[in-house]
Amino acid sequence: MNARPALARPPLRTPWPATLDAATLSAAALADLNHQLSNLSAQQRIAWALAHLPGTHALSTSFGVQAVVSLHLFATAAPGLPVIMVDTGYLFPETYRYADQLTELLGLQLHVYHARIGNAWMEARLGKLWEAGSDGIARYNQLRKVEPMQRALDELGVGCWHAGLRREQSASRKHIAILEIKKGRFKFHPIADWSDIDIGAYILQHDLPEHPLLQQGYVSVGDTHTTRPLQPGMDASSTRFFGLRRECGLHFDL
Amino acid sequence: MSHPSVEKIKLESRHLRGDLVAGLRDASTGSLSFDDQRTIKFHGSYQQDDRDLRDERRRQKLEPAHQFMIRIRAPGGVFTPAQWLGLDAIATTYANHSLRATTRQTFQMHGVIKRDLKATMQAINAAAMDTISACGDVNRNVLGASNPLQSQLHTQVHAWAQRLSAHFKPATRAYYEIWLDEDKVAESGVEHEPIYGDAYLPRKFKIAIAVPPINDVDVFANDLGLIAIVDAAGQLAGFNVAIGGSMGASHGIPSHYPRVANVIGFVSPQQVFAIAEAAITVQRDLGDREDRKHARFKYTIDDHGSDNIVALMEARAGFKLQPARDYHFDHNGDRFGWVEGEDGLWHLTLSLPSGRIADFEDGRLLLTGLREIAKRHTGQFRMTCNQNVMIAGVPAAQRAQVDALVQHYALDRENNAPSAMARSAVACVSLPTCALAMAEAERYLPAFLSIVDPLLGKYGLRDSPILLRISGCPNGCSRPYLAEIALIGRAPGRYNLLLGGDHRGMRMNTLYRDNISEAQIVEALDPLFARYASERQAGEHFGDFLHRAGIVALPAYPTHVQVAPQEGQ
Repeated sequence: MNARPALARPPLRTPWPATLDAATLSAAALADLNHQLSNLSAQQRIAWALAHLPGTHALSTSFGVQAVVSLHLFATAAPGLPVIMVDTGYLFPETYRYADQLTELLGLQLHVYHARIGNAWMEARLGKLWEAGSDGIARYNQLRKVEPMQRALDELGVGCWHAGLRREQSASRKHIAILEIKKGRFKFHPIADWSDIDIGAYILQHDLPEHPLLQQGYVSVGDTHTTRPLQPGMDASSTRFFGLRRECGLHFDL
Repeated sequence: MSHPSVEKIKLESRHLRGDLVAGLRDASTGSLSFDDQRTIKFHGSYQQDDRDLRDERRRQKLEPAHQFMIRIRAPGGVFTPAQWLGLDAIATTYANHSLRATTRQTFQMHGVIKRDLKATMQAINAAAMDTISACGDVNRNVLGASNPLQSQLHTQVHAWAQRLSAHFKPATRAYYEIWLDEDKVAESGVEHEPIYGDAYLPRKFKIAIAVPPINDVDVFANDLGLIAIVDAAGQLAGFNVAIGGSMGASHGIPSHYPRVANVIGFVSPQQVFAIAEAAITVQRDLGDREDRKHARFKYTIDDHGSDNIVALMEARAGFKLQPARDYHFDHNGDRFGWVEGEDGLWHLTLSLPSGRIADFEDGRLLLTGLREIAKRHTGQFRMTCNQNVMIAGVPAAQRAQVDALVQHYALDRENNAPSAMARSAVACVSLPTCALAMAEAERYLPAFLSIVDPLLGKYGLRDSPILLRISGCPNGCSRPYLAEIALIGRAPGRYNLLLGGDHRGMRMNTLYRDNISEAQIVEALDPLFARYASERQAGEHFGDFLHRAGIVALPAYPTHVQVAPQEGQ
């Protein structure tokens, strides 16, 4: 897991002609597109995106408790699509094993990115940032998640970044659109309007393996030190980062 | 950040006063202090927050949308039309424009903000009700069977519920001082609490009175259950006594388990207070005051041994229990529609959607419609423990008027639900107000019923009275562990599926699938419904079938098998 396979093979380009340009698409045209997309199924949305959005397409994943849905949707629609995973080095053993299992099962073209500084060195230099309150967690997230993700998107030349964000997940995600433009790049959320129940139904329908921690009561899985199982009275978002933050910044700072 | 224990808070509260007066006045926050959030429970209120808004308000750096739930003390669950109109006015003035019938035969109102709390409590008092001990570590609302057919027995049982509730009210004047501005007398704060003592009980204590053959109160879910026994002349001879019922549990912690009460003997009416006081004081003295998750009477009984607890109760009561008398329960549900009582008056039971009385957007004007009935009604409203309402004591001549209002406001939509399961289903409140919720319950029930309905249709089971209960967390306010099918929340969209309770409230169900999605629940139920439809014996209920077919076995909870050894058939 120490190798950085980022440039081990050239990123795939989608074979479909790109017709949209993030730099020139007007806000009104984007809103209209979103309206049209909202009437399509997730599979139809993905097919449209693959056909009409430019550059390299890539899906980011955390191999969290709901990741298998997006991974399966894209593995079905676009075999060989680059899949970006940012590995903080502090993930649960179950998550690493689940990543191996899904990579094998779905034939994922996985690109794993790490922070530039190793875990031990970071802790020696900066201490346990995740225990240093909201600001410490923000710095930790910048170092171990946001910067590697930025690097992945740049190195792979991603023109359209796909992610499995859903509006129901938290207030911070309540207003995400299916198609967004972020820093000159398309960002696509094909299951933005799916509910928790839709997720469960898809997993069952396609007989997909669930994240092993789901059975242990985890509802959102990140790093071992800032993830707790859901207890009576907790909301899903309060199981992460001691309830101090919801987002690591990866989807909102980039 | 460590908080004082609830035991310490109780002891230092000066008999449930705490700093409530100052806390209510503090306009800088919608919240009470940690300590007073514990203390106010004894006054019938929980501090909550709107969890739908929690995340958004945190993002906006606002404190949570604090609000209070207020629960009425209503032993036996009987309300006069005047009280009903009072509750309606309070709900529409101070709360969220709805009344919520609970599983303990009373109402709670949600969404009262701190600034309005005192005015709300005063309005409740003005409407001739109170909220004393509706929550907290004391004897809670006492349940009394709602059996409308045996009118005279119901009247007697209701009187017993009233008497028990009054007898076990705390002696402190805190409620009257804080909410009703009663002048403090010399002993304010140092009153003698003859039954509870200064620390009150280790945990809540629940009493119910059932009238066989209907167990609508789920008597075995209570710390102390009384089962009315009638003599040959139909008069109340006394009560069988059951102890140790409780629904609370924790996911994945075997030492936190639900339990049905065990019948331990029979007492005459003259002995009821003594035995009830003995049970309460034994629990007061022996209950666990270190671990609140292990503090209910059931754990005291199981830790010390039932025989020892019964011997202690007998010693304190000053008499030996007589052998339990034969009794039999047919079911633990409500019967819907009109029935005529022995007294010639008529009683209409309406199924409420999870007990929620509101004006719904789909045209069911339950709040308005029941208000209009209350304006004209000359009898009573009786709440059932299954979250339904009975318009009771209607003279034959007034039936048509009630029927017209029922029809006009679509009050019978639930009575005409497509399946027996839908009519009898129970769900706790859960999100967005309950501070303990892990998954949706009340708001999810209609969606779940619509998913299950095609299955019931496919197997011809729409008329089969399969008892479904949904709870948003393992604490079990909807008494899920006694249902034939129970969903208990694990996480948003995920539930534990428990199967195999009986329809009489006497057998616990068993965990069948752990932490599954809706789709998996349907997948699990489909083949079971298929088998039940084709293999059931005449009159056999779903839970009983699952046991006979070997699909589920009794759960491994301690003492579970001693459900009610004296029950006759």
